[in-house]
Amino acid sequence: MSAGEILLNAFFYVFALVALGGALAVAISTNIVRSAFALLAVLFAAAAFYAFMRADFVFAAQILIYVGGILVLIIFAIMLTHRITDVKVSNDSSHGPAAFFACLCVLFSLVVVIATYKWNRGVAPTEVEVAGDTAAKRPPVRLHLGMLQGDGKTGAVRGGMILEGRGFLTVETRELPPGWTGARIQIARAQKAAKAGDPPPWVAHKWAEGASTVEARDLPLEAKPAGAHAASLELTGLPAGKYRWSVALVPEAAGASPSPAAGFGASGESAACDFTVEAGLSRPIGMALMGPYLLPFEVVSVLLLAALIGAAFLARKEVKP
Amino acid sequence: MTTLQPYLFTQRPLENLLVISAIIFVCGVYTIVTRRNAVSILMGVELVLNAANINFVAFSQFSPAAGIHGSVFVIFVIILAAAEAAVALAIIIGIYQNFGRVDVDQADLMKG
Repeated sequence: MSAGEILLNAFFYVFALVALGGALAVAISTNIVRSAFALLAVLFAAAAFYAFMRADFVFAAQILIYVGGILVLIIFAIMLTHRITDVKVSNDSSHGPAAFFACLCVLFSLVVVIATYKWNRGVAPTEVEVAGDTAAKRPPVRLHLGMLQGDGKTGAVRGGMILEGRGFLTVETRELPPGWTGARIQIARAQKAAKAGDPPPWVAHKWAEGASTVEARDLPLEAKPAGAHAASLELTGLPAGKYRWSVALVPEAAGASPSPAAGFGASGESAACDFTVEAGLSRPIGMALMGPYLLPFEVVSVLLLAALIGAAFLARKEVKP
Repeated sequence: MTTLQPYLFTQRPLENLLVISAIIFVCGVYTIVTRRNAVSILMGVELVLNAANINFVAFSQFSPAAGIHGSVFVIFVIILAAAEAAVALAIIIGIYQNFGRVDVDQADLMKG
């Protein structure tokens, strides 16, 4: 494990301890003010988890709305509904043992499900066909192109989008005819179109590979169970933008050129897969809220208005006739 | 340490987050079930909502082809939690003005 990984784990488990201790304190503290401040710890720890998950917009919303809004509201309510003298022992509970047993059972079943279920972290693939070459007697091959985020082995797939930072491109094929050993990966980046409405021109993208920059990379296709073969390429520091990556199979013979199926532009698009690199979640969330989620967004705004009026109506002073 | 290594956060982020959110959820349920004070019950509800939110974002970020939908849903949940907290606290203050306390088992005027 690298030092960064150790540090990441250490910070994560510190925040996990804060969250669990806070949640327990909310559940069993006899002092309601202490409960409220324990809730503060839980909310901050949840914000930290969003940061660990690279969900920056949710992180900011959590702190602004939960910590800055809801928690302050709750503390206000505590102060308004308790005299200073009875704040100390004001949080009595009932049916403790039975509820504890029931909650323990629920927790046990949840943890068993989480630990035993095989969470799908395989590549969500785009299937493409690499055309064969009759002259060279190469049959066509079906390739599965996918993307991974996180560490290449267990990381997660994000369909069509990775965040700036670390990402993995993976190639998987169910059948690999003899004579082919590797995959050549090339990346193109979309440039600004000359005229609005034109499709963006694709330009080969050079990326850093150690000390040098490379334009293409040959990867050996490693054997996987059930006859499959796979290769994956780690990408770091791709700037935000639209990308297209393509795969060509590399024949065994030294010096031979790769299979012509993959390439950029009109001829090789069938063997390519598009992805975008996002600088953060803010832009995708904004696009989603103003696009497919526009109606729910508006409905929620009406609901907020209704809640505002309702709260003001409930909290107003009774006017005696 | 080496035996623990495959189970750490950097290796299995999804499972780690799911277990933590399960514990937070159970604490919230326990709070809702056992408390008499209405404000405490509201805090339990916030715990449950937070556990659900952590699950949403975790699945959105760490599972195949989930896209952005989990994170968008979390934004809606946070907004609804804010609205719910405002209305519930207004009700609680109304109960306090009428009964002088905020114990939920005392507010039984609507009991048949």
